[in-house]
Amino acid sequence: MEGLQLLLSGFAAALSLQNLLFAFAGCVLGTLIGVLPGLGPAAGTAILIPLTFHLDATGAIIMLAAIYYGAMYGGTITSVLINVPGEAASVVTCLDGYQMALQGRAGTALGIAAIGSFVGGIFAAVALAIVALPLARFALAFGPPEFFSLMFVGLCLVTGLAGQSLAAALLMTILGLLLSLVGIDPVRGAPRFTFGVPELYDGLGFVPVVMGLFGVAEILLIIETPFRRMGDIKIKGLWPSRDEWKRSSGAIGRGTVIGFLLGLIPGVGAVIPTFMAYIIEKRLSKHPERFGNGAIEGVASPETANNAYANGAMVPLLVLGVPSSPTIAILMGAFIINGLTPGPFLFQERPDLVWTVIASFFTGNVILLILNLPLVGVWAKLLKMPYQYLCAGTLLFCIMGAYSLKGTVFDVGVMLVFGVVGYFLRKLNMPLAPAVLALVLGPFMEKSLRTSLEMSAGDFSIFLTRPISATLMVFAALIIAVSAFQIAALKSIRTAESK
Amino acid sequence: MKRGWQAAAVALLVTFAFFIFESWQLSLRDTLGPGPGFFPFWLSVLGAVLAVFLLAQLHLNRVDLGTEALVFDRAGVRNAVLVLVGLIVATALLDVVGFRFSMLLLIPYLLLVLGVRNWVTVVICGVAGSFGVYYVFFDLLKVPLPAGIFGF
Repeated sequence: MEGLQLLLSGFAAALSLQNLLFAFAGCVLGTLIGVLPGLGPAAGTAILIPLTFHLDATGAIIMLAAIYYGAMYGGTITSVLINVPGEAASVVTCLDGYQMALQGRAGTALGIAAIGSFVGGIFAAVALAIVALPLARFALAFGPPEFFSLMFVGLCLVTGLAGQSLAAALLMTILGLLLSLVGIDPVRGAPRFTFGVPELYDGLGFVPVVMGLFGVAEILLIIETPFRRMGDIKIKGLWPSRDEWKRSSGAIGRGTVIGFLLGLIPGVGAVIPTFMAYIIEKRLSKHPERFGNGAIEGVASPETANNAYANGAMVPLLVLGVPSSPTIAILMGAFIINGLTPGPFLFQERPDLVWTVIASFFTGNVILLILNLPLVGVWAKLLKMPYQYLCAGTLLFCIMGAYSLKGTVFDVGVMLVFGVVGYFLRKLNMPLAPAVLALVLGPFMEKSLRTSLEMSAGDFSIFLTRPISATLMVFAALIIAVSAFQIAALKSIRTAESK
Repeated sequence: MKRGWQAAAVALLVTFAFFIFESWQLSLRDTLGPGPGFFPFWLSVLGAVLAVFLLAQLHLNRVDLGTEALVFDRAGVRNAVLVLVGLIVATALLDVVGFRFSMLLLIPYLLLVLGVRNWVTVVICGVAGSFGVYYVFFDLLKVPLPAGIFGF
């Protein structure tokens, strides 16, 4: 009941003209970012953070969250119209979405994607509102050892699911953690790895680093291999037929549940829920041969899962302070820039902000639906923009964003350095997600670790003698063991196949 | 791809060795408990061990790198390098000539490097991306942008 009251007060604030405008602007910018091939939600959110510097904390978070789920939907448009996913989570939508477009059903594909995204997003927001308060209250019992173990689990999950080599993923995590430690030591106040450079006393700026790793690196990759432009595909008839509704409704329901549940697990990322939703739909279908040839369920289920995931992933961030993907880590960075630390204490310290942000997920999803159904033709026209202008504009925004953070050219330099690093890491398929998550969690982890060790007079068993912490540590060990086993099994299967 | 991964592992090993050296100079432990060097030191040691382990795995072909080869398109890379050079020069000029003039040089340069040959478009984009953006973000939205040593 208390949760409902808080949510209603959140709605009162979220429905103010100012916050509605922030949500609207975020949805427009997010969809724009998602529509432009190459620029995913992580790059887009990072690049647009500076736009929110002069907003109040609530407005800034509302706008950035809207950019995030706007970008998740925007990626669908390119998947359907030019068979190029705007972001990784839309890869699976290409399979049937583009086939539908070739059959003259692009409008229906985009229509069902918008409706599915709306349903998935709203359901996930309702579930978030229900579970947030009890979970936050439970997490209030956490002390430094439990928080350290929790963040350790988060990093293990992201690391364990990060790609073809567990060692490489762990290396990226450690690199991210080390980079996060540059600056003044938070416990003793001693400068570390600053080399007498005053700009480094505040640490490496999270925004310039992320802008470099995602924004600049992405543009360098686009410049190396420019993407295709849209041909002449006509968009008409957004509303699905009765038969198409019948086939899509179950897919939307299943996609919602899959997306939300997987969103709760740090490290899963948006790609796994969309693929899982697609595979389950195909398995359940009486005509699996239609999949890949323009089956509407093949668009409805992954797109619903995609948006349900995006909203579900807010649960670990808001309630526990653990980001579950690079984009969510960037959102966490935005919280920190605004002087806020996501987690259970935020529900006590700033309930007004938390519940307004949660309520804004509802308004944002409604805005997205309104924005995407009638205006889909406008978004499609953007696909005709030559990549040269996109690249120049994005780089301009990156320079402006990195500079405006602290008003120093040093941050622009940091961004360029990490742009080059990100370019090579992306070329090598090295996992970037663990590095970004570690970068944002590093200072919190170190503080929790050192405070825990001060509590126990340097005895590491404190992490294993407290029940919650011990459970989390065992869970972390299991995750790493299972991941190592999975990677080894996958390699042996591939080796057997190649023979 | 394997060579690229090996190079990355060596680069990481060197980075961790550097961090080990630097954190060793800081105190690892003091009377209150773990010192400022404690966390980075042990992280770097773990990182160095993992980098060596990854190198060994790569040497023994134990890492599944897939079939995708590491391809650098020569013309594409040339463009990317030219863009990067432009960005570095523009960044160096930011505090000297200010945002407007550095962007007035950078935007047309980027468009020309990327193959835009319509001079009218190049000029319009250059002015819009420098003076236009400065007006909107500095004058209207109050985003701090450098004016340059000449004050304009």
